[in-house]
Amino acid sequence: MNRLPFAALLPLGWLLAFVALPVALVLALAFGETADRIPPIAPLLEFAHGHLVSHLTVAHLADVVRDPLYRSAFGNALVNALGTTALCLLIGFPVAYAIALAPERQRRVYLMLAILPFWTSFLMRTYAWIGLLRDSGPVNRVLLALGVVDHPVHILYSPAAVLLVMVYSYVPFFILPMYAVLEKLPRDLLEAASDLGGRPGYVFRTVTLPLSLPGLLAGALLVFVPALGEYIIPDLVGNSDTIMLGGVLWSEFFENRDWPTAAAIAGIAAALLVVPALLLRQHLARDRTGTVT
Amino acid sequence: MERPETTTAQANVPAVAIREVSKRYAGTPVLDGVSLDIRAGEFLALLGGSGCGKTTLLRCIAGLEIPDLGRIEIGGQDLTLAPAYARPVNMMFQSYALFPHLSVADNIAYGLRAVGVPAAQRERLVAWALALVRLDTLGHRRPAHLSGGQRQRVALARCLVKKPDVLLLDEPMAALDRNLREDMQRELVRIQREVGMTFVLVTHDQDEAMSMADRIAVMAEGRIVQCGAPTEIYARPASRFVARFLGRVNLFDGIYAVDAAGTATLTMAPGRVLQVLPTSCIETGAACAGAVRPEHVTLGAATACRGNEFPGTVEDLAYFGDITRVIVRLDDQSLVEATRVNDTSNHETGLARGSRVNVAFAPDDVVVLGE
Repeated sequence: MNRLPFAALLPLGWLLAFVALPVALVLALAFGETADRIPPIAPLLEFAHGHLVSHLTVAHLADVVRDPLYRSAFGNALVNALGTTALCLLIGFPVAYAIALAPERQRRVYLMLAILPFWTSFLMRTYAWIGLLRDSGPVNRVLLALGVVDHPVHILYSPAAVLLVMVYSYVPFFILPMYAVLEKLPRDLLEAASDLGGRPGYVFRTVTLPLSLPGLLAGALLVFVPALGEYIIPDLVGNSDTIMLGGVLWSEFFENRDWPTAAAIAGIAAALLVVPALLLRQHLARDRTGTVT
Repeated sequence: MERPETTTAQANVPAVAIREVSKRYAGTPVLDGVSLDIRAGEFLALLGGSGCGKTTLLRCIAGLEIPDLGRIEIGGQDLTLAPAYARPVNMMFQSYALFPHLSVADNIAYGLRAVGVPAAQRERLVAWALALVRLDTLGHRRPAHLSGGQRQRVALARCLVKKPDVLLLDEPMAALDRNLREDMQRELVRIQREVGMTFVLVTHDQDEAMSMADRIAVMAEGRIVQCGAPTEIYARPASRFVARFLGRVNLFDGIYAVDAAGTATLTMAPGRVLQVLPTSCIETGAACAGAVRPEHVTLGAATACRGNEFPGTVEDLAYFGDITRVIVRLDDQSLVEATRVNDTSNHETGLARGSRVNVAFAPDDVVVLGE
């Protein structure tokens, strides 16, 4: 039998305690029954009157799948996460490319600037956006002063505000892996492609893009996964009519004290995230067999 | 070995005309007013040490660098500022720069796809190029699964398939081991003759330049210091630098003089005089150097006929199989190198360290180099 090296015990223990166990707990809860007690759930298995009684049901899972409210929460979250990912890609790729092409000394400064927002709390930055976007805020004042609009634009508490703040918050997560790949892209390949007659657009499509795909996919996943479950940004700058995954999860768990439904939502969301992650893994594994850089 | 000369019609318009090209990097001149005509169909080597500007010059022709000053004409057209993709030249990179995500065939087809060559013609051309570099069976492989020599052939085929007016080769042998290198040098010359393209080879290896090129342009410090056929450059180097850079040479410093009878001499020290041939390039009284190739130096007993003769002692012998290099310390303490061919005629004259010998060479074997 292969023995695990001692050094592997720590990460393994960590993963068991803080990933596997909570996930198992959430999945088990999804099959539970609500009860008027603390915690607000019937024991999954118990001895009563000399018999082993199970309180297991798929009703909550079925509810989550069937109920249009949850469906629209999933749909809204999905649209929001996809929009965020797409915009992060459109903004982050050129930024990462520009940083990678900059002279070595400037690169460090630009990277630093990209990471700088992390030095302020995420919550603080989100609150700052409320001040910026509200009707009497600086954004509207500038628009009014320039004569672009006659009346303040209601940006705050709209899906657009959610998207804006989401992209602002998540774009560094796209830039960093993208930069890491683009920076290693051999310049002579781009020169060779150009020398062989490829115009800049053709070189980008046939060399730059395929060779930087791993970074692009990693960045997209790093944005998409947390964006799908994002709770704070839609709650603070979003429209209360546009419910999202994080919002319903919060209200089921804390307001309705319906743990099984909350667990069912979390479980289904996790399943939806595992699929793209596995696809990415497979793509990267296949790519490695043919490519050596 | 003589190679066929290009016809006069072709020679009228050079394949590449470089006019007064200068380029600086961060204030440091890399190319300093370089002018050069590259003839259509010739194999030209740009030879020089590292940092002499040879690769920058090649990249200026390719369009990967734009000169600060000067003009580059390709096929009679001014393409100084044209982007790389718009030039009828292709470059083989020192690193080969093969696309790792494409198969060998797709790597070779890349330049054809980029300009929209139809699929049928593309396939025919790729097959032709693969056959030319003898890789017919490896078209489906990825570059990562090829040996160094095979990768080099793919890089070559990828350029050849475009049938450029000029093929630029940047140190193509640098990454190959020695045995493979000599095979590939012969192979490259074979291919160049077969396709009849103009080849420009950048190298720091004088043997490579001498054995492959029709003409060599020797570069130093951003300038071309001499350009000509290998035999011409070897036999008539224009400067000490060229004499030293190509092959081995003995240099004698002295003052040049021609007497009333027309006899030219080079005086190294009072009483130590070299007989040389008169030259119009150097004036009487000028400091200069007499360059003598080791193979023109004979060793033996005193004779009167050779013109220049100095006694000395054998200091060292290095045996190379076909030749032996002999280092002789002359009685005035200067060192002279002589090359002896180890054929049967030499076997009886046993030289050893410490042997007394006479070093001799004819006046017409001395090339007088000005400063």
